[in-house]
Amino acid sequence: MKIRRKRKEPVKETQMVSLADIAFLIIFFFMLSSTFMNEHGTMTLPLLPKGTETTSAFTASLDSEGHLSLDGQAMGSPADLENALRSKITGRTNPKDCEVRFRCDKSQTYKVYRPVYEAIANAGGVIAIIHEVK
Amino acid sequence: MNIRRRKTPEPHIPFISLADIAWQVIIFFLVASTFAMNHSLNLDMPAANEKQQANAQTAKTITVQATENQVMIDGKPVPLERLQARIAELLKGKKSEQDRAVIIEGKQDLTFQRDVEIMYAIQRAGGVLVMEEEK
Repeated sequence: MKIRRKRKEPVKETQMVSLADIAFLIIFFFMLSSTFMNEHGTMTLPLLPKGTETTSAFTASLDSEGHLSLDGQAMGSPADLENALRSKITGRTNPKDCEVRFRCDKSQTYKVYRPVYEAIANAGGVIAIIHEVK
Repeated sequence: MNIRRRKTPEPHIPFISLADIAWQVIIFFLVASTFAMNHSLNLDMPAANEKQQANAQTAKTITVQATENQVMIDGKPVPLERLQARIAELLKGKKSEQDRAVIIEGKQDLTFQRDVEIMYAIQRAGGVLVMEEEK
């Protein structure tokens, strides 16, 4: 009688090679979709209890040294900020679309940040003061 | 004589560890990133119109005078912890936005931290913040 030898079963293995491609795709996705923050000086945000959340696309920043910027671009004065913002906001009617994230150092004084409030308000923006949560 | 040539193995680059490296890079980015702070205090601050300024003069609109060390409502000092309750008391029964307007008069030394605390208290009390016109 002929006894057939059992065929050697191939070793079961999971195909892992494509995992590298997936991982690199994720890395590229994160790299392309991120917007890196551009801050010139030091900034310590004020502390407040948890508030609302904003999804605004514009960010006006005023650092501890008084440097003013809009979306990372340096602004010489609040008047420059107002003009730049007005051109961005014009045509938007929904108040949610007119929100402007205002990041300001907590030690900044009224005489410095007050003209920035006015510039944003005069340009038709709704000020969304960004703060850290207490 | 039968001479068999040994088959030389095909050269290949081992790619398998690349996946581990890639995942490590992803995890590093995820752990090391600080996500943008989105918590906000929203202020739709119109400049005080003539009527509100006239109201303020006839003591109908609440005016909060703030310095770095003191907060006053219509000239009377109020501790910051009591500000919300005091404004809520004053706004009782007032329905329209016009009547609920609260003007903040900041002094030059007022810091941003203190200003946002005052604005937060006013909003929590149901007040509508109005920007005082520069004199």
